[in-house]
Amino acid sequence: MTYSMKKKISGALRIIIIGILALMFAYPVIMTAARSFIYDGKLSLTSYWRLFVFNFTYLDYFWNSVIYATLITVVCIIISFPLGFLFAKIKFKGRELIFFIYILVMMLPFQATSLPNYIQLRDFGMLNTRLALTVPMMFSPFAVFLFRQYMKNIPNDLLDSTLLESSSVFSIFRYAVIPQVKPAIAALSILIFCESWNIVEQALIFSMDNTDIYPLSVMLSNIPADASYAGGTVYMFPVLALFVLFREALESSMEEYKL
Amino acid sequence: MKKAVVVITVLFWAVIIFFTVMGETIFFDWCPQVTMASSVYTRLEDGTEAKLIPKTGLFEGKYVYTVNRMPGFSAEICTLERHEVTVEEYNDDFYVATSDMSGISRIIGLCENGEPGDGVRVNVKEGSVGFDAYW
Repeated sequence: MTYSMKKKISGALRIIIIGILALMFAYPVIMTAARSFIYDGKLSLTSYWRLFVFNFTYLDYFWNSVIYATLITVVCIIISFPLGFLFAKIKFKGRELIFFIYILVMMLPFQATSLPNYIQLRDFGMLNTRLALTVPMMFSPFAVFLFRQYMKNIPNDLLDSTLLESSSVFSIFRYAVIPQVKPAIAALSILIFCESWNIVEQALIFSMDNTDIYPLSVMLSNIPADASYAGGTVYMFPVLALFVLFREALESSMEEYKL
Repeated sequence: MKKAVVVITVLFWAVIIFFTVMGETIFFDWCPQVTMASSVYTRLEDGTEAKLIPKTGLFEGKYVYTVNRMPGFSAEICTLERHEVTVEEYNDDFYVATSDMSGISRIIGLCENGEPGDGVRVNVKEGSVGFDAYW
């Protein structure tokens, strides 16, 4: 067997194995979407009609999810951005220790922090309100960590020259920092949106007495069987569309910082 | 691929917004609207009690419908169940049932915005048909 033949065979085998693995990951998504267009054995949009008309409150929960995910994403980026800059570029005593604590908190699972969060929300009177489902997630150590990693690579000379020209911290952010971290902002937005789109435990624990404010992720299991595939497809679509539209930004930021 | 996704995304949000605004309205206007019949009985000459059926509540000359209610995701799911009965003329507004109606609970007195049928999904309007006409 010649070398080029061996190369072709190994290339083909690689494609087959990766293709099978990709199919295994994509199969549930593809089947859910495909079955949503079949009703009574025929191709039709009846499932979607039954979903949006006969189960009209589905869209109330859908908009709950949209509002929570969007709000959490926007506020988290706004909060984490200056914090990332602080840890990356501002030298102060205890910086490394405080950042280490951030990393520790990032490692903790939700189950470990749910009780302290519950007690805090109860004391603030925020339980069973939309604030309970959004405010805790707006403070993300992972977002601070990612921004810090990006901003460490911004040359200090650039920041110094911008500061000399404008004498304003906001100008430094606007003209020197933001253009450099745009891929990070895009990647983080997608990751935070996806994470907050799929909240289940937070909703069940922090708003157990107010089911009207539940996100769609919690109510999906209650959809009747004749509209469940359509419900699942509609639920998946925003996240999939976001990924397809911003795939390059996500991949480049993951690749560049070896995440 | 990206252009296709953008187009599909725009259509998706258009559909979502449309049904957010119109979904509940379409639900309540799409199904036939039924009004329940009052339970009105009369005593026949032989002393037995018989149920009076409003003339608007008898369909195809021999069918009456009851409503089965089930809790649904968004609203109560009401479907019709058909029962065959035999009737005789009673007055201008009622028939009197001559077949056994002991297993049949409240029937519908009026069906609007569509034809009734076995298993058809309906919305139940407030109020009832028949009692006022009788008195």
